[in-house]
Amino acid sequence: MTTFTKNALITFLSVSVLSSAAMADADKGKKLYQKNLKETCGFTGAVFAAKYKQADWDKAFKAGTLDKKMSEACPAGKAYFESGKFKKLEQHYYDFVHDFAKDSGNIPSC
Amino acid sequence: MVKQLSLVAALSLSTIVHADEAALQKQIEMLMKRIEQLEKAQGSIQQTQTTLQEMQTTMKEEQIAQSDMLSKVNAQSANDNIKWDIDFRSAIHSLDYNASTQSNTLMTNRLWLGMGSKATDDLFFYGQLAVYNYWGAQPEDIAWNDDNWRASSQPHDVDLRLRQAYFVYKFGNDWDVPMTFSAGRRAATDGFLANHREGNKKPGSPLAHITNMEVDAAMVQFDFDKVFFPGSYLKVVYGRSNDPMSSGATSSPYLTDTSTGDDTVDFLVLPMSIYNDGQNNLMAQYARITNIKGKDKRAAGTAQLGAISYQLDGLNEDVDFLNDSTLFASVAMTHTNPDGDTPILGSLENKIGYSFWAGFLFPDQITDGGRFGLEYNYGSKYWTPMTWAEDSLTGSKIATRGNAYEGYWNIPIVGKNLTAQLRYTYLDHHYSANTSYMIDPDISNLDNSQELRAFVRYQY
Repeated sequence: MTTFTKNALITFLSVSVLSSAAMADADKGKKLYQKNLKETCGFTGAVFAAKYKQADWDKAFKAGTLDKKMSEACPAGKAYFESGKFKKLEQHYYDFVHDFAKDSGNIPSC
Repeated sequence: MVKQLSLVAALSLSTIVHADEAALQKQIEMLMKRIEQLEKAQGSIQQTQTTLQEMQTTMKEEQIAQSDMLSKVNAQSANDNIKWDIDFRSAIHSLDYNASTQSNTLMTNRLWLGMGSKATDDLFFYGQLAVYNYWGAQPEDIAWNDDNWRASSQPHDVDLRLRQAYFVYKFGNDWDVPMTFSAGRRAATDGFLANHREGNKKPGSPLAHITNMEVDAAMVQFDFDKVFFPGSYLKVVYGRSNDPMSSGATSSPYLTDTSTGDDTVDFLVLPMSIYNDGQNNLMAQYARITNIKGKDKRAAGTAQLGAISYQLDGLNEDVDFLNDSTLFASVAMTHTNPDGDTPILGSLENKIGYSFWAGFLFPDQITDGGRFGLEYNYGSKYWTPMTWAEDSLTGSKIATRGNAYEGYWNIPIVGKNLTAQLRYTYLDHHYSANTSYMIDPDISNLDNSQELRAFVRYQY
């Protein structure tokens, strides 16, 4: 067995033992907004997320009324927010609006 | 008879008087009870009043304490306008340059300290301080017997590297074509498509197929989103990547010294997003670099580069596996034009190089959010992109003149805060390994090379 093969095997085994936890994906939520809502709402995802503060988005998500809160932020998207498609992807949308909320303090890069 | 009647009357009167007295007594008792109740109620009211007063006092005290605390926070945060973030990675690299040379195992640490500052919604700054070292590193410019095991613990040099530092000013938000101006040391590394192999969610600014370098430049961006395709924009970037000026104790400090044939290297780069709806992302880029180095490191001519890259993020919404998969493909071209008697790529003639790059990322079905990635690159004989800051220790795989194969596994361990990656890269060189414009591709210097890298990365 060559040195490279040995190193490869050790490295693979080391990484394989690492376990994984649930992953929130704000970036995916941003892309979903861009794809499904940007044109309907008429403004960018950054503007949409900044319609409310983090606490407001949190409260709505925990109460199961994120669809209503988002409909308030973008009335034109009401039909989408009430659809089963939105329910399935709700977590990603929440991660996105939470991370880019009005008081998130997020600083965009170039 | 009269006497009998009087007796009856007297008895009746007596009974009436007795009945009145009992009723009166009862009323008096009721009144007394009422008075007692009222007294109790009054007592409760007084108690409530006292409690309220106490609460009011407590609230006032709390308000004063909060106000004091706020003043302290205010004083502490006054002019403290930078937000820091951290990206630290420890990695192990196993390197192999075909069977004729020995393999090596390298351990590295990489620390990026991100700085964000936002003056207004339209004016902000981003910077990044970086240290990327290998374990047991020997400082290049330090005298013999001076090791890095005391470099930061005892008096030493003043080195602290700046990877990125630029401000961004957005204006004309109400215009049909809003604009952005930016200047500084730009986010020109790990750009579009290279972010996957680096385990980054977000790509840097340029197209990684032809640009992956740390550069200083000024940029104007035109957003065509309102008048053209969704997500479309054009960036005009002008910068300088080399200035052979003399900064030592000379009679003319900071004057560009061209006596050795070296000269300033300036570039114009036009990265553009043609269409981006969140799922389909089509980008392109043109670049022109002047005074590129030819033979003997002398300024020799001009290089032009172009690329078109496409990414499909989410192949089918109804199938989870496909919805979490990403497919990309990119084509690129480089053109060298020597303008004197110094050869570029071993020739005094114009040379054109081509390249193709494709990749597919898909859920690993093992971890939550983890993905496998497979990539393939091809480069022709004269293919010479500006990708020399690419984080591949056996040389830029995108710049390979021949075939490059790569597979990686991006693994979230604790959400996005602790991640890992396992990556294997194999470069099959048909011509000389692509390290600069100075070398003739026909001079073969390496048959193949491979790297296995594993890292664990903390980001917050």
